[in-house]
Amino acid sequence: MYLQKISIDTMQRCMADKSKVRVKGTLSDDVGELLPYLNGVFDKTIYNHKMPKLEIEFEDKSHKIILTSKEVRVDRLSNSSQGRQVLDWLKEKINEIYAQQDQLEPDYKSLSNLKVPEVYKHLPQLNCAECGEQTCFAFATMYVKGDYDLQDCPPLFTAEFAEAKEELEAYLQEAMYKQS
Amino acid sequence: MEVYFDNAATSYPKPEIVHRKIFDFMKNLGVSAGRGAYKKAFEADRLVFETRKSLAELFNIDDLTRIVFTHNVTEAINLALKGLLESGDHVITSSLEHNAIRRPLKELERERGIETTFIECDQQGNLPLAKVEAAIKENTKLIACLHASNVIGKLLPIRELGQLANEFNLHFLVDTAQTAGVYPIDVKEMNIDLLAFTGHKGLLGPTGTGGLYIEEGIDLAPLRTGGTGNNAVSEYPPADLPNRYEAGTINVAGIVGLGAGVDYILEKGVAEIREYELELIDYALTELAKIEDLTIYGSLNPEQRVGVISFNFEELINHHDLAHQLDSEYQLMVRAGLHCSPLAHRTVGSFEFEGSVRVGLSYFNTKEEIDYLIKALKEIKQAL
Ligand SMILES: Cc1ncc(COP(=O)(O)O)c(C=O)c1O
Ligand code: SF4
Repeated sequence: MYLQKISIDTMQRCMADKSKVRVKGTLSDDVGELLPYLNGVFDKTIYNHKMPKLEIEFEDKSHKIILTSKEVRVDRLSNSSQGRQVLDWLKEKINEIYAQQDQLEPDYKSLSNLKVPEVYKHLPQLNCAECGEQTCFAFATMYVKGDYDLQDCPPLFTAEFAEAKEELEAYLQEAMYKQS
Repeated sequence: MEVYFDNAATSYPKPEIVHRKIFDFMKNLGVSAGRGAYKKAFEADRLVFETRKSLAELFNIDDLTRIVFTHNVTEAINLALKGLLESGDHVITSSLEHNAIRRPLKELERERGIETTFIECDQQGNLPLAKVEAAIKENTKLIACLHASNVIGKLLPIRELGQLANEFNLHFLVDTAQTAGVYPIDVKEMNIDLLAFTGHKGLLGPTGTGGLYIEEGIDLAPLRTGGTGNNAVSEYPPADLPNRYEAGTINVAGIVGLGAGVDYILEKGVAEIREYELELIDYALTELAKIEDLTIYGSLNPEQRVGVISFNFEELINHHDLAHQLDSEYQLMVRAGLHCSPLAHRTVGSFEFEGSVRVGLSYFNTKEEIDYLIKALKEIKQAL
């Protein structure tokens, strides 16, 4: 066993859904080098290789894990038991992946490979602020940090910008998969 | 020699680690679980979580948040029955039941208009499965029964009942008061979707602990509502488990002790515990059967029993007097009376003697202690 323990440091109300809680915890051992492996194993992830930081989304369970080398946060939990259950599961997964590291392919697909101007180039450039940012450039900056999904820019999904969207997706595919 | 033979009521002694964990918690941590924003509260919360985890392992439960803590199995059964049953629902149960199942069912029959069928077991405690199946009707919602009788130790055919429940799409509630910790239980293999347990008997925890496993997809109305430590703004109890059913401050010290008891069992292995108890049961039955005029109720086959043995010198001496004599002259602690199970005494033939003397064995009893009981019974008999 590599990772000995994940301890919970705080539990607070969730920002996104006030009826839910989020927990923050500390890992007893550094898992930074394992993150690309986790990125390869899980389906719905957003990875940032530079930080490094990995987000794992569980749609069926509705919670989300945000993992860095030594810290973890779990959002949208119903209660602390659920939080501990998720952290327990995560610890087990990390140790499993650690044990099988040799047989696994690391996946460096990372948001941090993206260039802000390149993302910006393919946005609608309306500066309409529907995404919550004042400008498309600000959106591009925050997108690369992992704060947004493409869906957060509604104009991009209209017929008018269909071509831009395709180009953007092509760019994301190409750039994110690049080995860093 | 002082001997405790009332383990069917509550187990004693408990493993050393159980006292130690409770003591450590009370002395060094002592705070309420998960309701504060400080380290100690998280630590207390973690200990409660660890107990859930150990129980999940013991009963082969996938999602430990579906285990909710109660004060004992009685409360767990009340939660299951009162949370599930509505007017017009039909429930099938057995004639071996403890009042823990019988009374809430009778109450619901009177107050809520549910229907009940108590299937008669034979004098050995055998439950006729064909009669259970024949009793299933359009409005049958639940089969509810104990896993083993607290009067004659008889194990009910839980696997078969689980299969029936599964086949007819019924819920299946099992009262494991006499089996949890001493006999293998697997909610998946046995198709149990509501498992009620008590912490202070075979699970070797302190009194005031117990719980209910509620399979995913079942929504019970909570027995009590109040503070749950999360989502305080809402006017109604949270939908998610375990908090939905754990309103009020939970028994953290007790749950910590229960966790220690369950961990002790997991370490020894239920199979190992069962094997040792089988040896004791076999020995006790064999030796008791040699005593003249002593009637042992139920089957003499140890495989069909847990460590609960009821007997009487029927007309010769009243069970209360016998129990009193065993205690006062021999320091042998046994239980006398109806054991909250008049139905079971009717079934096995001891009701006309107003009950029986009951020996409840545990993993910590020995053959020497049984020898001492046998000697005492023989001496008392002789003097009659
Ligand atoms: C079969 C059975 N059900 C229920 C109970 C009640 O247990 P508790 O007092 O822990 O709720 C007992 C023990 O007394 C029992 O043996
Ligand atoms: S919604 Fe899209 S188009 Fe509008 S400002 Fe944000 S990024 Fe630009």
